[in-house]
Amino acid sequence: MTEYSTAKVNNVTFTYERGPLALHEVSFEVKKGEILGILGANGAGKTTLCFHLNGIIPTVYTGVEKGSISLCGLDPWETPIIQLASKVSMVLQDPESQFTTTNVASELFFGPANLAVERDEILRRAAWAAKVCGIDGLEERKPKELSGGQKQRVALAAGLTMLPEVLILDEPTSQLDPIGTTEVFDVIKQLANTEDMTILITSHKTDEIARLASKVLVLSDGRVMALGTPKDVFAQTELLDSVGVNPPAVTVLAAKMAKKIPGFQERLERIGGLPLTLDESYSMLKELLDEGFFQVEWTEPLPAPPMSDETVLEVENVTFVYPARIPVTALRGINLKIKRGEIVAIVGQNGSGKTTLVKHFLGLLEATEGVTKVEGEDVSELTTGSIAKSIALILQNPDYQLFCISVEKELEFGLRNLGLPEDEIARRVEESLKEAGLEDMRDIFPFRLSFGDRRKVAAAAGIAMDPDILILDEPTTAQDYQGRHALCQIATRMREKGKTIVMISHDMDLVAQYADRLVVMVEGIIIADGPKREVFSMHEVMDKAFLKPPQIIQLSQKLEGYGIEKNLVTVDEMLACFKAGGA
Amino acid sequence: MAFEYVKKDTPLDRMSPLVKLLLMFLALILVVQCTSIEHISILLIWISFASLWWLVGKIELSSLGFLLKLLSMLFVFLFLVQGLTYRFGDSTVILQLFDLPWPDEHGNVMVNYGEITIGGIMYGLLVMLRVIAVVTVVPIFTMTSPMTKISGALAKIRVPQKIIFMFITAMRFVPLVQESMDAIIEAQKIRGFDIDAANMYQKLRRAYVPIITPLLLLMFRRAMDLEVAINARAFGAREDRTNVEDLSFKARDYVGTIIVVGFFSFMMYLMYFEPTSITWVSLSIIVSTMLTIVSSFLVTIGLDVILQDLNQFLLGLPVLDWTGGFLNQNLLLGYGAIVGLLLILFIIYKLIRRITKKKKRVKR
Repeated sequence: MTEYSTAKVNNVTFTYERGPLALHEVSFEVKKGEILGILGANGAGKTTLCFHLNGIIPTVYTGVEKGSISLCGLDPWETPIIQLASKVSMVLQDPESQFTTTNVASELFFGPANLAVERDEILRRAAWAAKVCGIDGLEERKPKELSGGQKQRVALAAGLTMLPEVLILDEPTSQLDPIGTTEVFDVIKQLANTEDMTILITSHKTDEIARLASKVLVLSDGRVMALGTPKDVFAQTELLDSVGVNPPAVTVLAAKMAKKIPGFQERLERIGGLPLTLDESYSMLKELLDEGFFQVEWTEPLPAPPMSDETVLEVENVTFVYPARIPVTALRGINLKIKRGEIVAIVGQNGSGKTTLVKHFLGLLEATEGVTKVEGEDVSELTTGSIAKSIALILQNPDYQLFCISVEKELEFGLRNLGLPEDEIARRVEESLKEAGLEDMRDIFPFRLSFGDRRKVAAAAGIAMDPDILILDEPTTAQDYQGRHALCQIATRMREKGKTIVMISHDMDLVAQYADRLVVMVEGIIIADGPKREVFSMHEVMDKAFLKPPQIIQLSQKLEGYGIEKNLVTVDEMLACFKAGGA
Repeated sequence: MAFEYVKKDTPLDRMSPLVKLLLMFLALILVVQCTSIEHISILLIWISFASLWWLVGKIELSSLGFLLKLLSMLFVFLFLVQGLTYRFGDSTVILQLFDLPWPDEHGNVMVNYGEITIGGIMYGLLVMLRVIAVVTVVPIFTMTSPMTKISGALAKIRVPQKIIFMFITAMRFVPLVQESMDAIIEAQKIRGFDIDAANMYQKLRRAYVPIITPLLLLMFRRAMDLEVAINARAFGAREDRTNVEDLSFKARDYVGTIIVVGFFSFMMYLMYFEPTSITWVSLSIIVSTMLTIVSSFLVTIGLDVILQDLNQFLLGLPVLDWTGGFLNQNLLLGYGAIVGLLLILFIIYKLIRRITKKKKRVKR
């Protein structure tokens, strides 16, 4: 461990050219072989910080800079980026846009070939990286033949082939399913341990960060809010909450229990602070329950709100084949009925057919076999324009639809397509701006907004259409904790007005909290369909779909013997079941 | 996508891209030199030579489908324009579309630009074959060579890294633009913007704004991201970039080069040392024979009378009269009527298609 390979950031302040202050007096230090987790809401300066460390700032983006950075003994502001790149490798947020070549193999070769590494060495590294990241066998694939998760693994592997001393990962698992996420984080841990790589990682998945990071840095509006070991940082649950970072659910649970149950705080301090992982939390609770410090008093969670018996969406035996050189069967005999007023979550891996299924509802795809009905009418007989009156889909990527000069105009566009009268248009625009909290931004050019806000604009445009059915496609993509909840809360309010909500996601926390019913898809087949608490107990189904129940559910399953009768989905539900013992 | 590389493991697959590049280059040189009708035979031989490569490389004809569809419009246009305006070669008139005599400075009518001549058709054929001769060799290069090999090969002949990268990025962006475009059209459809339902005028007037604007913005953003991505991976760090693909010339590459160069030289020999007008004469004989057969066939089954009647009928319509004698010709038995008939058939076919196509209704 030499002083030389430490990343050291000293009082860095940075302002983008013609832009806002992005970083304010940021200082930290990372030693060789350490993993630093960087947390923060969208727009907190995480990506800007990463760009500083590998020289993208000032080479590609420029601005005003104060302070100093030293990286493996080099100063990124003085060293040409290409020299830095041999020491520091960065994996960017969007796996799609960093694909520089036309297939996986050449993507893995690209970096080391630029550095003029010997041919045999490149081949060896590529084989190693592919294996480590679980993409071996895909070498001949083209980008469009890969799922989002696979692309992300390729991006990581491509960063690894440069064999950097410092690896910077900007949200490397945003498109991965829960099992894939855990796998990738394990790989990262292994790299730090065996290859002695220094790793900086930004992520919204705090439970994984808590498990692996040796240090955690929390940013908010470009300022360092907390820096220290995961134990220290995650203990400050209120601070984290205020800056839009959610600590692992078990940590929040323990923190809330400490407030509710007298004497627990002292107990916690004696055993070394709040638990960070599921196992820690379980063993702590088990011990305290056995001891009689706590007792469980089963409190029935609130039942799902009642819904009508009217079926609004019906899919009968739908099979769909994508025509191509080699036809791909995306759906195989799907049967599904969705009732008015339900919140249904369709979950499954990338490429399991979730989005394909949803496109059938909207008439964007026509089933090869079978019938899709919306409110009793066969979709294949309807024009897409008229289906848009009753179903709105909020896309994963808002950039596919935004084109107007202002947010307001953007919302009007869909309404004009429906041919509504002017006063009605004005009324609905007003209403949905309010609903999405965009009133202050009505005159801004949507492209200047942050990604999270652009998604909100797209959502507002969807709501303005006043649909009976609202479909959210992956509300979590590139969204921070607050952003993803904001979308779901809009959806929940819509449901209270009698709308039906369909959610596509692989974020289990979100699904567990908001959905009533879970539909699990694997390779174009529905393998489970039922109330969420029941589906989460089907371990086989979960494994098959590469899903993992959220921490609280796992905890409630472990505590079954202590009187937790059902799967509990939120921290508050769990909290309600615990009472001080000894009574 | 057409022209995209698909691994097939044929001898062409394994051949160095440089050989195929040479083939493309020579095809261009050949086409530039083929300027007169006598060279049709040379082009035909060259095209059959190129199709042999297609067979060896197992390239599907369907990959050219889109391009051929596009080109067929061009070909029809070429035939018409050349047929009407080219006034060398065999001046036998095969079809008079309309009457447009063009007097020279002495007031003598030498040419009539309403007539299609055999010479004109032959020249149209020549231009068409020149296009085909180039188009058919392009897939031999692009569809059998992976990008990595192409870039390696270009680097080997000392094309600058930056230009190679531009080329590869262009190849990568073509399918990307297509995909993004489809996604954008879908995204606008679900906002009640139905481009398929709009008529031609509406489409031209405003419909593309909601599609082109996000596409452009998206592509700019992509380009920006790509700059970050290549910088992050040390692009341009070293002049002596490693080539992972093995690009040394093997026996099969030498054989390929010899075949390509040999065949090209043979073509040159034919072009400059052998009188090829025989081919031209035989081709014009074939064309006239075919025309005679068609008209005698029409006479035998008695269609000629019907056609002439139809011709008269069409001429009787006041609207068609203004075309300045579009159908008014008695030469070679009512060809105008044939064209008219085909046009009518085509319109009826289109109408039937439109009616039988499942009509979507508006949701209640």
